[in-house]
Amino acid sequence: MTIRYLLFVTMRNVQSSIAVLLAASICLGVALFSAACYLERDSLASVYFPTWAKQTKALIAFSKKPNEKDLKEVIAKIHGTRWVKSYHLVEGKDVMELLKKKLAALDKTLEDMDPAFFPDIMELSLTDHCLALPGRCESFLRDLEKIRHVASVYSPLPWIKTAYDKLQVLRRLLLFVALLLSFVSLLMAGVGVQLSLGKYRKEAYLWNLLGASPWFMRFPCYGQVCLTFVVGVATAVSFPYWFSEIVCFSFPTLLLRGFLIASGVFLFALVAVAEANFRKARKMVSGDDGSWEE
Amino acid sequence: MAFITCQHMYKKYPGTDWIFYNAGLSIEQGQFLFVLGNSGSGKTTFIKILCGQEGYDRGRIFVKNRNFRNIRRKHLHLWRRTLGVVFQDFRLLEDRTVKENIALPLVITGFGKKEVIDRVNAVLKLVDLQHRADVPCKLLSGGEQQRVAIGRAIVHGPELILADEPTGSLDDDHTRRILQLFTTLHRRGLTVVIATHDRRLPLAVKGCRTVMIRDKNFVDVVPVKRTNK
Repeated sequence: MTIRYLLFVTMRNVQSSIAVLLAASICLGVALFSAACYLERDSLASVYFPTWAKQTKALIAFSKKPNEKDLKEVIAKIHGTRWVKSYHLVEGKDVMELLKKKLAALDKTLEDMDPAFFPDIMELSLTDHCLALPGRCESFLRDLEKIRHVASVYSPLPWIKTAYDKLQVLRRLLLFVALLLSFVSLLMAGVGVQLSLGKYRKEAYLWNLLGASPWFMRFPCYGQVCLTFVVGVATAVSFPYWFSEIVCFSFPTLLLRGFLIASGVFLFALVAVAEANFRKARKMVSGDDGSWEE
Repeated sequence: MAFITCQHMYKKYPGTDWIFYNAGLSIEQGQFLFVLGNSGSGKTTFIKILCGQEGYDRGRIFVKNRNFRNIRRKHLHLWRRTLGVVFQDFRLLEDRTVKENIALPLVITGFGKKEVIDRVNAVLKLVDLQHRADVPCKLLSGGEQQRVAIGRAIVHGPELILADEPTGSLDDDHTRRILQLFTTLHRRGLTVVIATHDRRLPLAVKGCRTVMIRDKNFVDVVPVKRTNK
């Protein structure tokens, strides 16, 4: 009967603040989404760039047809690095054929030219690391230019680098949003519990006078904290997942980090408020500060 | 053996004069005691001190020869369980029914469902509120609320009943009935302490002891019926 009564009081408390607590959870969910965007530093590009933009390629143009030794040197340089996903050699005659087709489409012809005039091209498919760390990838590509018979290396990296710098500003903004919303949700969770415990405090005051043990008085506070915690964290963590699914972003470490952050924020707010209310109720009895008449 | 002994008790609130100054009082087990005093004389403060709601500045209070100060705060609830307190303003949970209010001390102390039902029914019969058992307390009259408060105070079988102005808001008929109820409980062996300003009350209870708070101390008095000449 005692447990049933305590559960009744706990559920009543939860019920009276459910709207505020759900709002706090969603607020924390948005904060987590922002935090996830900020924290995904290593795979920044995979987070911010849509899939079509990740097909980054670099072209190595040779000054003359490379022999097997030259090719081996280039391949040795790119092999095993984290920057290059795959490579593909395009011979000069293929380049010429391609150019002819393009010109034919424009009703123009390419006069008889020596295919040797067209350099061989090696097409490199770059990995996501190049998007995340464009500066270091660019210096890698510059190193390729030093290899014999490599005329030049073309890549969109300068453009990516500019975008990357702008993304850093966006990341800082996201961090600010994450911190602000975490604080707001912390306040909301606290206020939600505080509101619901108004009735509890009056009742707990009477329990104390009638001889309730400290654990009996604490039970509804902490019962509410547990229930709110489970619902709040589940809502807060599932929100960014659901949202990231919609916008096709990927957060490899969101589940763990999000859970930890949400747990921390909610637990801190709820335990602090519940304990404060329990102490307040106990203090009311010892001082009898007239709160019964409030 | 004295149930409660106050020796050289001093009490004052910050910024006020002494409420009790070197006060002493001994309450025997099974005694029916009236504590009389004018408004502001310290009747409620005395009840609060005995409940552990208020502390006292100096002196000693013994409960069954145990120093009250030695009861730790975390064990204070065990002392409160031996008390039945009737508050001046009843302090009922107004949105709960009569039955739920009376059952509260039993639920708090962990009584089983069957025992709770049996005891609550017995008390409802004693305070004559069977017909109002399922009515929320806010719908009751002052006299009925008073009886609910008394029912809540006795349901768990306390050793000592402390009542603060239990007849303050009642008419003569209800006052007589409430006193009858306290007398019945006293006959069952309970120690009853009633704080009141109404000097006629002790006259209605045979064999009771009356003390008055005078000059910040307890003074034994013999109540005398006033006659209008």
